Order: sequence, then structure tokens, then C-alpha cells
Amino acid sequence: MSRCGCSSQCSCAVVGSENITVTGTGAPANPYVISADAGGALQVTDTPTVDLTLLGSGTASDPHILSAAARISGTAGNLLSEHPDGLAVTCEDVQDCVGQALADGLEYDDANTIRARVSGQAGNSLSIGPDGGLYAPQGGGNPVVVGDSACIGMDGDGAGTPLTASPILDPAAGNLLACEGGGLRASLDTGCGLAGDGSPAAPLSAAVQAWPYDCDMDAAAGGVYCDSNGVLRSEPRPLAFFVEDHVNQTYPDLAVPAAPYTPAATRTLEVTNPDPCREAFVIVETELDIDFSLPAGASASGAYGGDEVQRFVNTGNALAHDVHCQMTKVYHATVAAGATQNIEMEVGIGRGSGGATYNRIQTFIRAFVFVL
Amino acid sequence: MDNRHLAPTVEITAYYQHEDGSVSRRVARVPAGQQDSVQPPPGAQVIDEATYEQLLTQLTEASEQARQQAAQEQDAQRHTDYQALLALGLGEDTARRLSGYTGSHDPDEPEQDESR
Repeated sequence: MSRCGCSSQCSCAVVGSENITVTGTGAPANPYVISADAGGALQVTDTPTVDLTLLGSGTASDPHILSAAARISGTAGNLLSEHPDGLAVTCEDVQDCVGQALADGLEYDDANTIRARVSGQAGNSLSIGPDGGLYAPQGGGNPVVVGDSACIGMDGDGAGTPLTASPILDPAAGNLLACEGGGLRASLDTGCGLAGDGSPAAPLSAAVQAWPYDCDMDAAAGGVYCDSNGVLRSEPRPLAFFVEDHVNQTYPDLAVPAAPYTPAATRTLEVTNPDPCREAFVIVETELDIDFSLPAGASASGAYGGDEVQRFVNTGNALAHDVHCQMTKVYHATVAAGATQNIEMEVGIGRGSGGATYNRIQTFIRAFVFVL
Repeated sequence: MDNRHLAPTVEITAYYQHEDGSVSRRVARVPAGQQDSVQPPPGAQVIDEATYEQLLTQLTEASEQARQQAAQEQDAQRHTDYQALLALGLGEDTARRLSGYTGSHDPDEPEQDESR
């Protein structure tokens, strides 16, 4: 249909080509009619990858229908496949394919992950590092963790710093062990009373002198002991001391009894043996002095310990005042360890006659105490 | 110097008055720490030194008086013996030697015996 408004003839030239025919003038009454002849000359040719199909004769009533189908190779391992929406090669297929070709050191878990395969063998230090990459600590192998025992201290990591072991020496006083250039050594120094260095050639022993006496040492020597503090001790210390009791008693001229012996006074000295181990040997010395007044012809006697030690008789014809004589006795006693013993001295007078009197009794009791 | 082998001792002096009228002075040496072992004799009373000296003086003076009394009696007896020996015709020297009289020849004034 003409759109240019021509009234009788269109000035436009319309020419047909091969199999195209143009009729009419272009006037409204005679419009151009373009028609084509049905061909039948269309042909298709397949390629190795495209399979073309041409249907119809190419006429209006039997038009050509051209279709193409992709040709999928049947070669084993071909991952290309046809899907309703077209050809596809899926990532999963590629992964599975690649996964089948993995060699040692790689693994595919069929969960879409291909990764390096880390050996689970003991001692393997390779791992996936925090950054996702393969990681092996410097020096290789497992990291060395060191720990100290009570006596050995460890240091180093075996890689950057070498492993070292050092003895732990007790710093407390008295530890003889030392680590010196030649190695561990316990050097024993001995003081007074000890000899040797503890070695088999010079065993540690007490430094003693030779027994200088002619007697049998086993029978005569004292002992050496170890006390509760670990200190060597000898026999108990010898101990000596002196005690005494001196009494000078003045009387108002008392008559001397006529009986041979009448107790007049008792004097006592207490002796305590302070040694808890040994008996004390005591030398006792006693003295007695009685002053008598003896008229002419009078007599009197003095005694102690039941022993009359003095007897006076005034054979003159004059009064004798303060007649006295100081007597001494010496004897020994023993006091058991830790015990107390009273040394008594009973003073007696007697044989008084002729108006004899006494006015003083003086006594000494002396004890020389030895604990040996 | 190590004196551990010598036990220390202390000296104690005590004074007592006894029931029989006597007094006593006691000097005791006892081991240190055992001063309590020095106890007064039974019946004795502890007195101080001044009291002791006072009582001792009294006893001494009483004894001295008794001695002087006895001496006077003795001199009187010697004088009597001396006079009796003279009356028997003995010489003065013999009479003095036998009687022990050393006083004056005057029988009324006997002298104190100087031999005491």
C-alpha cells in the first residue's frame, strides 16, 4: 500500500532482483506488488560440530525449516553435554575429572575441594598454616618442647637454638656438687678431725692420733659419741667443786654432862652431785673444836661421830679457861648421780666432872667433790 | 679460760639464836642456785649480824664475869693455902710454889694472879 500520497503514479523506482518480481506503478489504483518465486535452492551442510536439518520446499505453503543440533563427541572423558537449555561443561564435572588425575600430595574430597594432602604419619610437621598455605616450622620436624626435671634443666628448641641440658645444683649451703670445666664434680674439703677426700684411695676417716699408752686401748680408752645434734661428744666433762659448812656457836658456860657421851650439836653439810651420769667421789674433811673451862681437878671430853677425840683433865691447882684442841678427820664418801647426800657431824661431850663447862663448839665440814 | 669443770659456788653467812641461849655464826659455801639448802638448825632463830654481835657480847661478858669470879675465888683459896703453908713453917718461896700464890706477902691484900 502506498504511503507517499501519490495520486496517479509513484515516481519511486522499484526493481525486483533474482526470484523477486515487482508489479504495479505505485498508484493507488495500481500499487506495487512484490512477489517472490518459491525457490527450493536452499541447502545445508553439517560440520563436525553442528548437525543441520533443512525441512520444507521454501514455498509459502511449505517454507524451509532449518534447525541445528550440536554434535557431542563420544570420546571418553568428554565433559560437554547437552542440556535443555543448551550445551554445558559443569564445574563439578571438571573437578571430578581433575580429581581423578591427582597424584601424591594432592587430594579431592568430592565435596568440591581440591587441596594438598598432608601426611598423617607421626612426626610430620607439615600443616596448613593460619594463612591457608602449607606450613612447616623452621628446622622441620615437630616443635621441641623442653621441660626441666628436678636435677636437669633443658634449654633451646633444637632448631634456632640447640638443645642443651644443664645440671640443676641445689644452692643450699653444703652442696658439694659443682659443674666445672671437666664436668660435674663433688669436691670434699675436710676440716679438723677428718682426713681423706672420700675417694677409694683416700676414704674419709676420723683424724686420730696413735694410742700412746702401754695399756690396752680397747679396755682403757674412753668413748666418742654422737649427740642429738650430730656433734661428736667425748666422755662427760670432769667436774670438781668444794662446799663447806662452818659453824662457830658460843654457849653460856654450859655444864659438861658426866655421861661418857652426850650429843651436844649436830652439824650438816648437804652435798649434791650435779652430774646426771656418774657417781661423785667426795673427800670429806671435818674439824671439831670445843672450848672447855676446867677448874682444878675437872675433866671433860669431846667426840664426834661417836668417836671420842679429845679428853682433858685439869691436874693442876688452877682454873683452866678455854681449853680446846681442834681435831680433824678425813674420809671419803660417794654420792650417786644426781643425788643429794647429807654429811652429818654429831658432836658429843661427856665425862664432865669438877665443874667443867663448855662455852663454844666450832665445827667445819668440808667436801671436795669430784666427778671424773 | 674454760672453767666448766669447776661448778660455781656461793658463800652464805647466817646468824642464829638457839633455844639453849647460845648464838652461832655460820659460813656455808654451797653450789650456786642451792642457797635454799642452808636452813637454820631445828629450834634456832635467824638473827641479823648486829643482833648476833650484841648477844655474843652479852655471852662473852657473862662468861668473863664468871671467870673473874672464879679467879677471885681461886686467888682467895691460894692465899689461904699460902698462909697455911707459912703457918706450918715453910719458907715463903716454898709456900708460894706449893700454893701457886703470887700475890703480895700481906695476907690482907692478895694480888691478882698475873699468870692468867
